[in-house]
Amino acid sequence: MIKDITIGQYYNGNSVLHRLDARMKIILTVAFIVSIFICKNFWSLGLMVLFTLQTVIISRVPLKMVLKSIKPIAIIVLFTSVINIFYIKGGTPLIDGRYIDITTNGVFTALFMALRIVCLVVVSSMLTYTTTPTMLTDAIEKLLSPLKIFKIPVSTLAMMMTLALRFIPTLVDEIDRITNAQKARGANLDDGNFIERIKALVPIIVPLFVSSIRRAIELADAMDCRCYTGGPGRTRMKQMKFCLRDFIALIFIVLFIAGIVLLNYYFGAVLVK
Amino acid sequence: MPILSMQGVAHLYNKGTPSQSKAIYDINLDIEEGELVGIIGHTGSGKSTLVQHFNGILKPECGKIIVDGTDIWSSKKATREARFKVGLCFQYPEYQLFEETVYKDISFGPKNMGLNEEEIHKRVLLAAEYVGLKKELLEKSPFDLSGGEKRRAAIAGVIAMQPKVLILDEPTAGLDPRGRDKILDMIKSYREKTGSTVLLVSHSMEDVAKIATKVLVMNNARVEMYGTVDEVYSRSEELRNIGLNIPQVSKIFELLNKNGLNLGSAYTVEKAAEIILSKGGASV
Amino acid sequence: MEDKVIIKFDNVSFAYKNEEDETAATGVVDGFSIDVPEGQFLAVLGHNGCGKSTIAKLMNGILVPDSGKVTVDGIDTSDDAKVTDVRKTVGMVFQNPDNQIVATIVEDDVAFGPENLGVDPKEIRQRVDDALMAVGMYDFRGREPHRLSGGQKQRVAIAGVLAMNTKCVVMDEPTAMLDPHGRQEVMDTIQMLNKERGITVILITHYMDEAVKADRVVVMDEGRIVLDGVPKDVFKNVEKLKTLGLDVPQATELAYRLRKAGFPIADDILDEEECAAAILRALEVK
Repeated sequence: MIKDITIGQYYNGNSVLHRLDARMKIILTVAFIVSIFICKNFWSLGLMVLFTLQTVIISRVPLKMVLKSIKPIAIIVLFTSVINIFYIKGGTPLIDGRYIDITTNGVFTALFMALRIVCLVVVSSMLTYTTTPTMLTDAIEKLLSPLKIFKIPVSTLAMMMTLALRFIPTLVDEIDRITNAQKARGANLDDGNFIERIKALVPIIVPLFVSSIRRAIELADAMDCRCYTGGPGRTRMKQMKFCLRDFIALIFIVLFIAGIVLLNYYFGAVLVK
Repeated sequence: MPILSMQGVAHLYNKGTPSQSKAIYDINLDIEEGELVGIIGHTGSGKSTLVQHFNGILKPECGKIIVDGTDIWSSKKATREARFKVGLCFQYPEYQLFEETVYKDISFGPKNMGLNEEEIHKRVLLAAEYVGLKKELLEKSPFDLSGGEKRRAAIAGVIAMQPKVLILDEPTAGLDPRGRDKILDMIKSYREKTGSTVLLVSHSMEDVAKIATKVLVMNNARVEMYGTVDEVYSRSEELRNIGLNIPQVSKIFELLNKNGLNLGSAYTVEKAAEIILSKGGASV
Repeated sequence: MEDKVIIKFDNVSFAYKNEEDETAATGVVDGFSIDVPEGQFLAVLGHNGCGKSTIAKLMNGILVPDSGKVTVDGIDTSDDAKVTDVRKTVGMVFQNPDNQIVATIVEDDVAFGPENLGVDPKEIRQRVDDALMAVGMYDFRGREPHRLSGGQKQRVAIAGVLAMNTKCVVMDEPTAMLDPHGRQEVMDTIQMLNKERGITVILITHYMDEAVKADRVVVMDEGRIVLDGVPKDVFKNVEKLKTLGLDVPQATELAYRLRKAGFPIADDILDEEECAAAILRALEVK
């Protein structure tokens, strides 16, 4: 059933990574993503891969789930790699055919690109696997809170995000129900040209809108009853506190970036201009 | 020949994932034309899954579903025909209303059948009559109706397809007693007038006792019992074991019988009063 | 000693304002007065549109009366400055379990109310754990609400109210969308709140089998009270209840039918044991 989709794909666990402060995890992820793009040679690239693998190992998220997160992008990676192999010129020619030219630059770029994308996806999925959606929204709220001085309603935005996460499964379920009800009245959703298909969606979209509005009104009442004002004075049950492990993690990533920069410097760029 | 027939039908949830489980299995069932079958069972017993197979909304993992003599998965045409031969009205059907007027909404089904305007018009009026919707309501927006009226308008949308079998999944859920009685009366008279087969999925053993001719009990994804109201309700111990509660009057009769009276059984208040009065009438 | 009144309606009237919609006549409240003593389990019965849901919304200031006064623990609900105090006293559980859960994790949802009240984090944790244990949902605290059954969702909603330390819970048809099992779960929880925690419960319903469990039943029609008393006295009025579009328990109805036919049986029978015993007695006398 569609109902069983997992939002934010959180994997329940208790590893060091799970226990890291969500804000720190976001900062580390961003730092890692930046560092991915400064790798210039195989040494720094190797360090990046090692770092990624180590993250996966300490998260204790099953390898199967990690692979699942790569699956949707596998085709894109493959496609860009192939394009890169054939179209990037420079460096030593490997195959010098009449129609096909393959050079070291092409192969290296393809390899770099593929590894970078895979590492990027794996590390960011580590963030969502080890952090609940609630923690994630809380962390984003905290990180963005300086924006409050520009009168940006950060807490309201965070509340909206939480509600969206909360209601996605409910609405998916509802779409499923309405679709079946209209199918039972002979609605034809699978055939016809583009315009016909769009038209066929009306019997699903209208009831979905009507019921979403009704839900929104009821939810607003329920939130009123529980004293939500959207204003200041709200406390949180789960407090975020940086502790020693967060700083150790920070030191780790700083060392990692330094390592990449050093390796880049020592071994030079692999791509030939 | 039965109007609905299932032979060795099974359906799986989350097929191919670790959480794969049997929604229904080993279903062998014949339902004769003209019956009003009450389908009972607790949540998760498979009763909603079962009924969604009759009109081809769900495709079974294995087995055959035969509606009016045709295997509904034998061809694409047969599958589409099953949609119209078996009218399925889901739970809270008012959430399927979408047109500008009640009239247009009721005509959605007949239009999808490819009928001509005249025939559609006739069917819409007839369906509205069956469910007891006043004519002046037909030009209103469905969203301006009361809760009970919305429910009946949505049911009319299924009836207007003039299906041979009408299936209603908990048509009285969330209604107050008056709204509930209106729907139950409507179902009863619809069946009497049209002679069609009706399947009624319900949580209420009382409602089923009131109007059904046959009762089907689902438990743990299988058909546990199928028979007349008497045959099924008399197995009160088994029903209790699978988490179903017999009507209060039946419990009263059990208590009376335990205390040495020999009253037989009753499942509705009317019947119970009749039996007791025939016993004690002499003293009055 | 007079019991302390927690909710008081003094000649309250209310009508929904909607120019276009003529059906707005439903749900009006017309000269409604009631005193609800602290600790009472009150059931409000009535058909749809009789104004019972409006009463619920008037009880914690979601709606304020057009005329008359609603006071909660001595506070006038129309006083905007004190609306938080009113809602801290009277919590609310609605019909649709999906539309009142705001968080993606059960325990975060229960924490929502106390968080809004600015309660200290350590205390919130304690209240949340306590509330979840009270409704028997502690083991589900890390779950996602959309994976729970209807009855479980309603128990989470009840825990959310409990965590606000309210003295009073108003439930607007909390079981209408549930199956018999879920209804039983919620009814057990409601009775526990009332009996063990002394919380005032106002249960708005159209299920008579739920109303018989209350200390007091109020039957409404067209925005007014038509019957008010202990269940035994209210359900005696079989005919009146039927004209109002309501049910009575089958045991009561059976006794009523028998009586009408001249069979000697009491008119205040509510459950099956009582009914069977009375019938046995009557038949043996013969």
